[in-house]
Amino acid sequence: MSDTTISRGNVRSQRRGRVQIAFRKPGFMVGFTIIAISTVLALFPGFFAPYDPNFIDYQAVRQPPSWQHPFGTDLLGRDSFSRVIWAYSVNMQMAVLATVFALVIGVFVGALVGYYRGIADMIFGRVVDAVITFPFLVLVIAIVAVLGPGLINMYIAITLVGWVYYARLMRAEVISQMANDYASAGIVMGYSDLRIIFRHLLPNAITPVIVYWMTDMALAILLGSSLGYLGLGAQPPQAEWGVLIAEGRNFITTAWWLSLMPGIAIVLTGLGFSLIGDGLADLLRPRG
Amino acid sequence: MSEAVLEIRDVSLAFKGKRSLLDVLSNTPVKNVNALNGVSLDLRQGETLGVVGESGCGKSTLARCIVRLHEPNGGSVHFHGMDVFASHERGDRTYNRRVQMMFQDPYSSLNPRMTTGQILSEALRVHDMCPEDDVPARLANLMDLVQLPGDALEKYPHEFSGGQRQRIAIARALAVEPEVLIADELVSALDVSVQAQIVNLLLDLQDRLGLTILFVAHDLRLVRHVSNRVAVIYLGRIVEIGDSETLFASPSHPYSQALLSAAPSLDPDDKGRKIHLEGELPSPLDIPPGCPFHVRCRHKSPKCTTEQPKLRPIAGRGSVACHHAEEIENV
Repeated sequence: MSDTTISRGNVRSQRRGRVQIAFRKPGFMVGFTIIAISTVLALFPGFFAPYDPNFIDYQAVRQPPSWQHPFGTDLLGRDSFSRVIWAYSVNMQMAVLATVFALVIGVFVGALVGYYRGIADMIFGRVVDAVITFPFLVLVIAIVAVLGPGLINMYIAITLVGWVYYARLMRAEVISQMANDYASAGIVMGYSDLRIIFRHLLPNAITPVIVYWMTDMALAILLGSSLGYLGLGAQPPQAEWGVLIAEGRNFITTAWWLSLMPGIAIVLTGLGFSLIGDGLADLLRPRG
Repeated sequence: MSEAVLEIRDVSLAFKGKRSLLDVLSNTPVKNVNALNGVSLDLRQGETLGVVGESGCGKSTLARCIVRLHEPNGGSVHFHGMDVFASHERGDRTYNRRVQMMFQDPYSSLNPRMTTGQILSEALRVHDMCPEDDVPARLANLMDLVQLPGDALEKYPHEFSGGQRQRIAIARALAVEPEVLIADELVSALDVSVQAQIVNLLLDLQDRLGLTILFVAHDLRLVRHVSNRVAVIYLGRIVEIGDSETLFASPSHPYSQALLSAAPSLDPDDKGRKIHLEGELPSPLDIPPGCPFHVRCRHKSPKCTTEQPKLRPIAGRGSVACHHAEEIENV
């Protein structure tokens, strides 16, 4: 009876095996390292930055990179390296706060309309159409313009627009998962709708949403610094990459390091999130 | 005759067709897929009722209607006298506990993110089947019932073969101690050797637990092996229903005769007596008037093209829906 014999093997060790496989992929490894370092910098900027980011030294204005000031100094003599490091806490915070509420709202709404369909789904479809027709940045700028500039208002604006993308993805995935008999089995077993949606469908439907979330965190940093650059996000003198690039803009030919260094920081963290998203797609896919 | 557990009366179900803008403008009527057209049958306490028919004849739709996965457009389903589709019964989960269904595809009917233990204990907990302390013992007991080793509880569905997964699906259905099991093509996706194991397991469990089974399948030998009674479905209607041995030995409806003669014989000398049906199976979008089988029937008369035959008992056989049931010779 080959049918009743089961190969030996511990489930937990197989789980660990998959994590190891993910880490063996160079892309995921690099992404993970970048984001790990960025997170540490964001949590303890004071520990790594040699100077106070807002300390003004008129004796050392617009100095080129040196051992004393690795990224040079700006027009007020503030240490550029320290300001880039301190900006990590603002920009990493952006990556999380601008996306996590959109993620939660989108997953809930998307799962519910995907499961129940009907009139709510049709209304949802119109809302998605309406939001997606506008260019993302234009819509966010319009909302910030109404609410007023600042970090909190920027998070609200990005969440108001961003949840639609998560909900759309979640809805499609829930609908495709419902074609599986385990969803019907849940109904036949007499489980409640909420149990079927959140205990059965959601864990199977969420993988693409998580992968998109990683990309979206990169986009959020880009968007946040764009708004900072335009003067609608973080406000000077706060150290934020977009603000730093804007401050160096007038001196791009004479003091190139002012804009280049925060630019590199943006590219690196964006790359890190994208690489992690790639690796997670493999890691989270259910087998069999 | 024992008491009917499930009484299905005139159940019909049409899936709404898509209507394009052009159809609306040209006033073309909507084409509905008439999956079930007035199916009536009783499922009796402790019996196994086989349901056979071609692909697309409505076998699975009937099974899904019984467990409320589809709501019929007309007719009723009564369980111990209780109307299953009455609006105040809809929220009642005890019906779903007492009438369980097992699905055709063992690869999609188990949640890939839950271990066997989680799948089974969820069923036990949601319906408060036993005190919390007894859950592990009950799980071990269920594994024994479906003859799986105890360490299967720790594993995920992808670690099992198709046959093992069907055992888990059976265990899940049994966990909530149902009275009726609906087996929708339970073994169609499995190897023949494994099919026998699963079917024998099911029959064994039926003996031990006193289950009533509705066995939907297209494999005629299998149905003959497991069923006490058999219903033959054609285009969403029952054309013949009766005692399994009688029906297989001497089918009365011309369609049943053709269907049974199409089953391959194990006797190498059995060279013929195959009835070849003329023409195609009519589309359920457009069911012919009168007897739905008349377009393919060898015995059709003018009456067949206009008047739809009712299912009526024939002496010495089951019930047959054919105007000429008495005249047609048994094959």
